[in-house]
Amino acid sequence: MKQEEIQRLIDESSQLPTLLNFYAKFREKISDPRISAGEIAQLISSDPSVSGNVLRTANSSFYGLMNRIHTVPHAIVIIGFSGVHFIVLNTAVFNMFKESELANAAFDLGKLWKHSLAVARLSRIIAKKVNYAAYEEMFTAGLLHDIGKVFVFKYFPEEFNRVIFTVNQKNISMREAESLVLEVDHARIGEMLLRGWNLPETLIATTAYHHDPMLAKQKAKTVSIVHTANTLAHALELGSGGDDLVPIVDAQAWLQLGLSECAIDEIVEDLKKESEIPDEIGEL
Amino acid sequence: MEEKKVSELQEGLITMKEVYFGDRQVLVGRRTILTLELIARLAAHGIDSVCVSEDVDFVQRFRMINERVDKKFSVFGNNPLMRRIAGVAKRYFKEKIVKSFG
Repeated sequence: MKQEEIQRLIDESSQLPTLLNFYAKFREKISDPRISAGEIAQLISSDPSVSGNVLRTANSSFYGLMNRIHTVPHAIVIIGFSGVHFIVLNTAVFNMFKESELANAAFDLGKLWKHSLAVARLSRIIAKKVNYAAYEEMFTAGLLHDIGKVFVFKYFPEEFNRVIFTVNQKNISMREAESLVLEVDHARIGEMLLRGWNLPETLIATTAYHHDPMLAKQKAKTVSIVHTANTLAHALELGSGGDDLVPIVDAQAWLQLGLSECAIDEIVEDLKKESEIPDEIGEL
Repeated sequence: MEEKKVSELQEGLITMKEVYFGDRQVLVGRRTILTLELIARLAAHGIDSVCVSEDVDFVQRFRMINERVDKKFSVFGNNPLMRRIAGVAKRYFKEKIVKSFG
């Protein structure tokens, strides 16, 4: 399978997951300066899973409100357009995992979802630690970092099985096995997908370079957040990315974050606290 | 139950329900799986010996975690950051076992 074949499939929008139908509509709406909050609320309310997640987020302990929020318009006021934007995208990614779940019985996609959710949470925790202002964006970046694997799992099941077989046979990483079997790895496939879906550059960079953060140049620090979160999720065996290996944290990437080694202990402690709260999105 | 010197305690052993130091109770309520942190705490309290039962299952599980993590991280040699991550991972898995004992 060559990169061109994947690109052709991405370009054939009719075959793409329904992910972006709703998200694309939402982005189009919010980019219109004449749009009112009421119209956004109406659009959000038309999708039960999105409106459920918006309400759940507004009522979460993060916002610490005394009274419960019962309506979508009120929740949007609390969360803000930018926050709602990421909730819509997170819900779409979850739905994409869900739609793909039964496509291939040889691999448990639920484990990849758990891994992605762990990387999302760890990315948000690290982002807060390094005072990265858009930490909710880093949650979404974590959810999306392995989206290339989901794409291969769903649209190229035979090749995906060969990748898994190669991982187990040679005891190599998914990335190495993908390069052998597919001649392209999940980071590159993810980059192509997100570019095709016209997602923000930061999310494209975190997906494309999560194994090589320093190649992201001016976005190296941002990518280093997801890169480090990915290593921690592998080390703690939170879900599975398809192999049992722990990827090394790039020394330069760690320097970019400016954290001491003690921060690793604090990050994992914060994750344990967060994990006691129910998932923001859902379980596969 | 067997009385063992704190300096000879192994991870994964199980303490008796309550551990006293003189009149002072230092562990309360339930039997507890010994972790390195707990052994260090007992030593810090000045406790010389503790009554423990040797549960082969837990000692074995603790040992297996150490071996599994060491094997996985051996490729990184003495990389201090990766060694730190390995240490945090070991603690995380052991806490999960202790919690499941519950």
